[in-house]
Amino acid sequence: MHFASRREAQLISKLASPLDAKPQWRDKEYREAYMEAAIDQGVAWQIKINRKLRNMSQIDLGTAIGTQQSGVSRLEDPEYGAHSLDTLKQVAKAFDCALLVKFVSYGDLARESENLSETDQYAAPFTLELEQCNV
Amino acid sequence: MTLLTSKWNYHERLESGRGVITTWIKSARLSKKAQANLERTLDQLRQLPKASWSKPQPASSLGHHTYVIRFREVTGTQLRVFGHFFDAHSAFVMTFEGYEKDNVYYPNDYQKVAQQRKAECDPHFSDKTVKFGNYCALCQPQGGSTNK
Repeated sequence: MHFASRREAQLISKLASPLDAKPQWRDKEYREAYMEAAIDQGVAWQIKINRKLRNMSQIDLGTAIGTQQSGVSRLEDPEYGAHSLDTLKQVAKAFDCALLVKFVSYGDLARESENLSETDQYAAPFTLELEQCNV
Repeated sequence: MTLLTSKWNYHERLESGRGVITTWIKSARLSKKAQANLERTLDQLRQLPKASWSKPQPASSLGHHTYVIRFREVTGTQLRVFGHFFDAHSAFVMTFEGYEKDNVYYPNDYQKVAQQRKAECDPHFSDKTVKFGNYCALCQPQGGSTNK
């Protein structure tokens, strides 16, 4: 790999520092497994936490996204692993929050793994954001 | 949490000089997927207050200071790690492994075992436990507890 400049190489080196805490990620198969676990578990937990913090039942969310309670239960199962983008978009609309899907470096994933508190997982509804803007 | 770190540290019980969870992961030949599932689960839980170690999080209190961490093998086997908190080190101590089937934990006497392990570990924390992986901000990179 060739970097455009020494500064860029230094920047990438600095950005990758969270990887120091993830030695097992040097194994490609392992880090890919972690990435999948982060998606599967992360999405499921985010749905459940955001639903509960909005005082919505699984039936409420199911109604909002056009599925049954059992379908929502499946979405909140960390082992489900088959969330579709279309479904996630519907869930985001039901929660009135945005959905951000982007490719990131493993360094960024390691950094993200340090920010998994319930506060980090909560996505405020837009109306609440507006209220805070107007204060 | 009471010490310097805002995240829980993870320790594992030592048996014959080896960490029991690390040994189990190797001897049971857990798949990389299962190991990654456990790592992600630990990443999640270490950032949550003790009171939040309950569903929907992948951990639960079983009473008597005993907690269980849940994750799965690729085969669907519901793997479990039992342990307790040791607040003086801001640590969760993983003391033995098991599994769950049809809402029943194995070993069946998990509560009795957990109490025994806790009684073994807590009075001699630095001798009876070791940091798990890189999950202890208070321990030296290659060693056990700084309390030694």
